[in-house]
Amino acid sequence: MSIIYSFFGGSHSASSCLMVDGEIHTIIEEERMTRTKSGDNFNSYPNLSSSKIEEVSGIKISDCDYKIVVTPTPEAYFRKILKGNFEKCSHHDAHNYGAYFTSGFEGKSLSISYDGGGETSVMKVFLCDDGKMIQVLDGKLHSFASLPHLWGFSTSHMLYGLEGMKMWTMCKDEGKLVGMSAEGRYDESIYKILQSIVTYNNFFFSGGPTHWRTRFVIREMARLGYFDTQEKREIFSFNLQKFTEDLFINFLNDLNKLYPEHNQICFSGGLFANVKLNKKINELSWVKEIFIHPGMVDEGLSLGAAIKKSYVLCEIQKPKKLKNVFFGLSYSDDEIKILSENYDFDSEEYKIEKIADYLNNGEIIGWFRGRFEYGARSLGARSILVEPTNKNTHKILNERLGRHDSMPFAPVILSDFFDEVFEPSKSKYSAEFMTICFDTKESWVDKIPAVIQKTDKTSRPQIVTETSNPELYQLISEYYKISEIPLLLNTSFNSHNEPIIDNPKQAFDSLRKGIIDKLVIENYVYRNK
Amino acid sequence: MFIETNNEKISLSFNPFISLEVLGSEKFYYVEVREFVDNEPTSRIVESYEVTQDPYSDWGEFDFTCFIEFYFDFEISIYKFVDKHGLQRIFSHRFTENGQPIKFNLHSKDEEDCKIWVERILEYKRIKSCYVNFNSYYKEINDLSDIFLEDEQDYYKTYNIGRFPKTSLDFRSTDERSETAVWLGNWKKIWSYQHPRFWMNLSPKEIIDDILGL
Repeated sequence: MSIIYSFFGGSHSASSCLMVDGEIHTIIEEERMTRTKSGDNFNSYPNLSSSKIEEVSGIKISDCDYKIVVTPTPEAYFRKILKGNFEKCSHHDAHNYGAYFTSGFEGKSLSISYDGGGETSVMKVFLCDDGKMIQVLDGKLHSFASLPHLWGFSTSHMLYGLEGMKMWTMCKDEGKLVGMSAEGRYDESIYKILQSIVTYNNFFFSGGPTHWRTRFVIREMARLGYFDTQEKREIFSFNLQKFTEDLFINFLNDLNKLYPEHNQICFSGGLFANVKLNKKINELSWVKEIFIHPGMVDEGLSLGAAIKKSYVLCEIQKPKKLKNVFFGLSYSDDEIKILSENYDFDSEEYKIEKIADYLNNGEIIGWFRGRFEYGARSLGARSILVEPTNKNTHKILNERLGRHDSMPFAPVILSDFFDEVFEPSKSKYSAEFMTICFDTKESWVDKIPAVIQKTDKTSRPQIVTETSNPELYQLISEYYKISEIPLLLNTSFNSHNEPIIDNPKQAFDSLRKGIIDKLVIENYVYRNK
Repeated sequence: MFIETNNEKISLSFNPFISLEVLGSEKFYYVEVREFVDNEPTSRIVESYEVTQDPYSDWGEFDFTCFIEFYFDFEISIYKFVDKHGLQRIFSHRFTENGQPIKFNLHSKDEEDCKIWVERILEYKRIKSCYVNFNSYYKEINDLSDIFLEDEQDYYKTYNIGRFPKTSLDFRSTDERSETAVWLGNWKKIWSYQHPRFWMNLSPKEIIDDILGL
């Protein structure tokens, strides 16, 4: 029986985690507190999240039985600022333990982490079976190429030198390239250029370390005008996506030849924020199931480190599934009511039928219930919900939210209807965290245009079950009764370039600014007078 | 040394650390130093970045430097970007002292130190079959030189043998992550650019063997 505090800092995506007796108590990403997106701060430390954890748990970090830091957090930070004796957990161990022990996988599986570099590695691969993990590959930073570097530097140079365009940021805007890729086409020259940076052969991605090599090539491409127009950016994105898929699928197929019985795979690390790559992997015939950890980027490291320690202490022995990811902060009705008095709102008690009606009438609903989510996605605690049937929703919602993304919006679907709308019918547990794209069945494409990629007809659904989020499940069921549509559009409750909201004030401000039409916040519904 | 390719003029020196300039038709060149480590199937990148001769450029350094002075087995390569093809290597040089003039500056007024160091340098000369030049406080040591070149830059490599403090040039010497050691690209941990290990508790023989990779 133990209390474990773990954190990661000193780079992007700082976070804090508290685990009590092998159960997750609280996880807070620093960006939720600082209100600066992790990709905009490569020097973030868990100053606010650690204090908040102490506040909500009533447990002092100094009193925790075990204090874990994920490397490469600067030693000076935890020695001099947190003033404690911290055990170290390797970056990629944290990724892999976090992914495997939340996968629920029984039997043989693989765990793979791949990112832009943590500590001394960019990739690790583990063979997993019955709660035991054996490392079989360690891709060292000094020689192993990183595909996530390719994405990061491409993202940050995509709008280079284009007047009036705001620069995109690595570790934040890669999804925009993924979104654009469906609109592009194959270009032999671009593919060849990418091959000059990274190649794959026999379990080895060579060319690395790829950060400056990649930066040089991508900058030269930017300088020569490869990204000057939207069409050119789409063509580049298509080839980058195809190149990534080709190399990584080759690698997975090689792994499968060596370990054919390990046909379940869990993933972590920045590469697997790429929902289209995850789709390709999920479609491999030999793959039984994949699981992408919901905090797949470095925000998941603090949890992974705590899980590893709990495993060592025998408090966690086998992988189990997360019921949901609501490990953040929550606010009481009283707190909310007092705060609401500062605003000029009308309010009413929450009635599910009314909200379903509002949605059916095309209203944009802010949805704020319970503890906020862990990970990069809004999964029904801090969400914006909209009917999925209006093809103009993409434009309307982007205008309201100040976004300019070509990435399509995603649906949240009742678990019972997933197979009716999407295919293939596997890796549904991972789909509870909106981490994989699926094909939309032909009969549904025209019914739900707001949540379908218009060119390739794919979608990135979140499955909601009766137990994972009962309130949201009931709301969609109610909406289904009047619309015969078993899903809603679910996008993150934030404005452009901001982290997902945390507290009621941020939600009320969104309502006051007219970003949403109505705000469901715990047991009340607010609207502007 | 100066090297000319079809389109580039390259100035390369290891006196006492790696420095390279390239003049040519390209606005930017990309330079990599890769280390070869025994029993590893692939080389490791130690340092890499772009160079440019354009003083108005937003990025790229005027010349390439890798401040490591002690011996390591490496290759330096220059690449350019070729439209529609990508990276293309235009030059590479594997560091090798065999048959080359090498200069040794002995930074100690302690005669015992120098005697030990000379002994190890002569062993180094035997292994590498190189020509050596001694620069010390002692004439009898300097007279052991095989070769004397007027221009310091004509030596293939210059080694400084001594006990050197960390300097402001030491990359990331103030990085909180390392606190006492220099990191290169987060994988090569060394004490300073002149010493792989901190010399305080090392004998004179260990110090020179560290520096010369013996």
